[in-house]
Amino acid sequence: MLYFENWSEFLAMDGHGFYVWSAYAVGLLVVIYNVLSPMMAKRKVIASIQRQERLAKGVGKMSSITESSLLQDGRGAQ
Amino acid sequence: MMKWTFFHKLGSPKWFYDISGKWLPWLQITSLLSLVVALIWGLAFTPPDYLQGNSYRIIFIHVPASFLAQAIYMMMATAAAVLLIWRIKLADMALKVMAPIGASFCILSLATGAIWGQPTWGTWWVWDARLTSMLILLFLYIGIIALRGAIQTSEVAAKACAILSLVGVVNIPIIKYSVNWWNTLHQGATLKLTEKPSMAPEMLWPLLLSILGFYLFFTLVMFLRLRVEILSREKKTRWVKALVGE
Amino acid sequence: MNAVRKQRLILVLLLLLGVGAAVTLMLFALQENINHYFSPAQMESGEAPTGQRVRGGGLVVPGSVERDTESLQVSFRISDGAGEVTVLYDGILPDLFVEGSGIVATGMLNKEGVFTASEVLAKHDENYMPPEVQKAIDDAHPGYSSPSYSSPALQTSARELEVQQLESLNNGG
Repeated sequence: MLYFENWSEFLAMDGHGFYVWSAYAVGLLVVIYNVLSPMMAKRKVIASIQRQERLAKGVGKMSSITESSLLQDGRGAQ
Repeated sequence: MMKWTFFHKLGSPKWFYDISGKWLPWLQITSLLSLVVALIWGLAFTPPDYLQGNSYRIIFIHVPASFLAQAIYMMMATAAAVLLIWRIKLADMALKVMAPIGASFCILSLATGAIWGQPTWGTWWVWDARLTSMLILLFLYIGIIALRGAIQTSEVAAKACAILSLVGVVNIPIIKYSVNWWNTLHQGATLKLTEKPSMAPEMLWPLLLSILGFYLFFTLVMFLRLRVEILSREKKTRWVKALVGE
Repeated sequence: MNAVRKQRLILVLLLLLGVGAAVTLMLFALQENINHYFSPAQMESGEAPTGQRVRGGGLVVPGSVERDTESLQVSFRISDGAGEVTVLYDGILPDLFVEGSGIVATGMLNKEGVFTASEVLAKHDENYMPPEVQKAIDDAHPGYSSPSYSSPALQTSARELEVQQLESLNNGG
């Protein structure tokens, strides 16, 4: 059974509303932090791996075309 | 022989990545459901406490957070031992990702406890053995996180964090038994291993469900973080490249 | 388990044992400082030091609360079943300050055995139940109040009694 007659009673928590709701708010913040943190980290890691792959492919392309010219110039790839 | 093969398979990051992926949807659904049901149940569908009135409803967050803060540390200490004895690098990855999760639940426990303390005890904080040892737990978590960042070499960092985790584990029984060994303002355990809980059933069930929900949630976010860590550390391997592959 | 791993395992166990032993010793040594806590019986018998900051606690003796009409000064007696002490306090008492319930106070005990408190906190026990269950217990045992702090023996039997009551109410009610 419901122990509150209406919404304002529910929010007021019989005078303890501030305490109950701020505690639950901190709980929500901790949940949000724990959900967002791996999501953001994953984005970073995927981006870094994709960058790594692009660079590797780029180096591969460069070396096959310009290897001889680079060796002549004495300049390294990149 | 068979047992050891399984154990070493357990240490394979790719194996964990594949298995954990299958569990994710189930973990998402069950943790969300149990948390939402438990907290609404506790907030609106349980009677107020005879003594504390409605402020006791903080218990549905405070107790699970406190249990988790300690349990996560125990898991970290276990991972630390596995790392030091068997040198399984997945154990180090687990140790690394669990620390910030544990710290966040420790903060939640301390914050909800302080908020609850004001209308019940009459103070936000007291230096009794229970609160002080929980604060020490938070310092340990922060110390492990900081140590990891401070050491450049990853192998040395792994070992240092593992050793600090093990050293700090002595704090866990202190936290648990503080209310028995010393005169503390914080009351004794409501949920006991060998005795009946000192809580009315209509309050007990949402609390147990909330604890379950929090543990499921922890498992979910720990898996999520560990999977990212695996991708990061194994980024040079073929399977990761293929997975991320454009 | 091979030899190397066994050796590492032993090192880990030694580490744990060593730290455990060190901390245990430290805690025993610091016991006096950590506690600073005296029961009413100890304060009455003179075991507690006078003239320095200590902590004490007990159950508020019903009927002993006297409030000054003009200021926030209040006096009451606390008991642990074995001894009683008078507490003086000037300030707002916590919401959960109720006759028959427990308190923890910080302050100074004087030579006459009166404890002047600078802080009074309400202590509650680990029992949670709806008001009607508590009322049923009160009706069944008039004059008996749910103790939130008392000597361990009283606390255990009180807890047993409450658990019994809860059980019988849940079965019968």
